[in-house]
Amino acid sequence: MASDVGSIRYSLREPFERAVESVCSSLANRGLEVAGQLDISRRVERHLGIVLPACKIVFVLPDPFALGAPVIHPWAAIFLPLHIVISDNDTQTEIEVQNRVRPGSEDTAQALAAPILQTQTEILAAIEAIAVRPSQVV
Amino acid sequence: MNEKGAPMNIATTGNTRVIPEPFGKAVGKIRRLLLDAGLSVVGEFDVSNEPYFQLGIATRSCLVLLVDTPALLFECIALDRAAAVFLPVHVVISGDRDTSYVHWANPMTGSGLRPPAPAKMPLENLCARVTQALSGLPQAAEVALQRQSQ
Repeated sequence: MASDVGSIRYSLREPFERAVESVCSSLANRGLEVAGQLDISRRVERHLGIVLPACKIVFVLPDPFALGAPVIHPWAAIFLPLHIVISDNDTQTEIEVQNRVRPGSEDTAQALAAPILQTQTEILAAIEAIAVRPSQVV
Repeated sequence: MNEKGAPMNIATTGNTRVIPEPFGKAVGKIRRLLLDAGLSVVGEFDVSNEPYFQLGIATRSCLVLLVDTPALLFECIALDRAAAVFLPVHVVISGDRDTSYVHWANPMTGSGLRPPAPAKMPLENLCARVTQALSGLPQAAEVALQRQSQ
């Protein structure tokens, strides 16, 4: 049964900034578009004066040529671009990828979710090419 | 699938409002409503030119606003950064020269996924504030009635 946990965690044994570059490069290699980044640790520090370990969100849009659906309803932009959260954790970097959305059983629900699911699948493949799940570290 | 429909749980758990104004004016209006509610637009993505968002209508524009507040962002990610897969929340504005639509949803109920436990309340709070800011905008049926009476 699919989990309803919101995200899947990966670890990458690289310093933070290099890990951000690795993630973006791996996404690009799969044809995904890195639409932008948001430095949320800096945002918290600037507005609240609270220092957190480095943390960025990388925003990812689908590869238009790989999508099964020719068009996507604007509703899908509630999720797109998808967020990948990259955070510094001492000697390694943690990557959080949103788990696969769980659409309702209606045909229209499945149709609307399809491009989101397809993009999530591509993102997972891109991250798994460079990082490991912590539970798989020996 | 038209814009007024509620095509899936993502949509039926979310909100759509209609602004009987051109896209550019509607974007300004939405920004003001969010700002007046104490919310921040921390970024935006113009996806109008992404081929898959064009719905076969060349003049249709589509903009994604990223919305949060610094305090709620901190509350969400303080204990577990994973919450940031859900925030900032997206407010989607689409439209043309005549009519614009604004879409938003709680990304947790919309996706059927649950965030890290410490982030649940601040995320709910953020979504409630977005809804409070925008729900005064008319629904599709109200706009249709207004147009009929004109």
